[in-house]
Amino acid sequence: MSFDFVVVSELLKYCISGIVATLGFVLVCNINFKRMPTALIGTALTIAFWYFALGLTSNDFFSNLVAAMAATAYAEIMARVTKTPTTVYLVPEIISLVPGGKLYYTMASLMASDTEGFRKNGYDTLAIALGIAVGIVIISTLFSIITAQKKHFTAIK
Amino acid sequence: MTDLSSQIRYSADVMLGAALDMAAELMECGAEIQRTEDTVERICRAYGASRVDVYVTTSLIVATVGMPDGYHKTQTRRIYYSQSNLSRIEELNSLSREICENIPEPVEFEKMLRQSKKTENPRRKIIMRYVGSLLLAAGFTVFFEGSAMDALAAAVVGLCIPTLNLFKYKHTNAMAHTVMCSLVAGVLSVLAIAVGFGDHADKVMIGTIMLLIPGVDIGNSLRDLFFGDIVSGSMRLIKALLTATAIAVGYSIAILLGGLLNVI
Repeated sequence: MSFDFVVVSELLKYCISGIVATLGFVLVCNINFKRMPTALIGTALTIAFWYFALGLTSNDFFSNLVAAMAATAYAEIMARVTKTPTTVYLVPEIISLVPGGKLYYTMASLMASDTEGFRKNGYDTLAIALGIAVGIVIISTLFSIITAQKKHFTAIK
Repeated sequence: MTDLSSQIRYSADVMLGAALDMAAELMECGAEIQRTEDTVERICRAYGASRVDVYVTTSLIVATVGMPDGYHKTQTRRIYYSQSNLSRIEELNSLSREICENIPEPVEFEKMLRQSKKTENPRRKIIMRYVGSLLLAAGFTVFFEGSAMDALAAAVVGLCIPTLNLFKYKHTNAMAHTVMCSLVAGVLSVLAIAVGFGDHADKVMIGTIMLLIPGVDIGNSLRDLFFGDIVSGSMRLIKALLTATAIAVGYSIAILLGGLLNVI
């Protein structure tokens, strides 16, 4: 993979459309306007991680795992910095990874009795969903361990 | 029973009631289990409870609070529906911090909770929902490789979802509602392509599917599961999977129609 015009323009397309979509999503979820810039920067970060991981490995599971890990770490840190629940940042960042397209093609191939397409798209959907799930879980359990330690030691003091 | 101790008991009852109202609202707005349990426990402890047992699931909250004089009180709340509202979670979170710091009279606490709910502007919320749906559908259509015309079509078709959501009440069957939403959105996408508005039926449909995907439920269910709230986590996960199935049912009828009209 090289940093040529195609890569940059494609990344820009994903980032901008992803940010517009996430902006719509957070409006639907009635986010506090003060949190919006931070959430949207997180979205761009998540999409960038996803794009480069996909370019390097062309593996759906791995690229979504990396992107979800980056998103969760960003959300957990920002939640602590701004004293906000983590969900406020995590949900907008994960939404752009959700395999809506693959889910649709799985369904469409089911309707068209296309076994091969169903198998392939169904597998991809599962791999992406699993990648996101594992990514979120790894980082958020890590943060919960740190929080528990902190609570324990402040209680001792 | 002396007058004084009955008054203490009364204020403990009011305090627990208000704390549980807050917890129920948190769950309705899509908060995690851990946060909700934590909020109730913190508030009760701040008011001097010596024992707090609180159990939160996605549909029921049970809490028993024990005061130092040996008085115990249990209350429950039933939760019927949830609709993600991130700013309300944040508001309730900061309100609970404020209450734990200042410890106002329980009646005052109840009043503060009621007042903070009143400041929400329902008309603004509906407008935001329309604008949001428009941007979301258009954005994801381009994100999933659709053309500019597809994005426009998805944005217009997507407006049917917030419109249908206006007719979603407390006791509306959520699954039936999702099937109806996805059926209407799918059929409208196919018809839009059939009359020449938009280029690819599949891209337009993907854009509108993203409006219905239970993103908040999926994210929360995983966090709940791995933080030890197995019951609520699996309830949320099953709810998300059922919603996905309902979406599939609605859209597959639209796909059949698309096949008949030769647009897919």
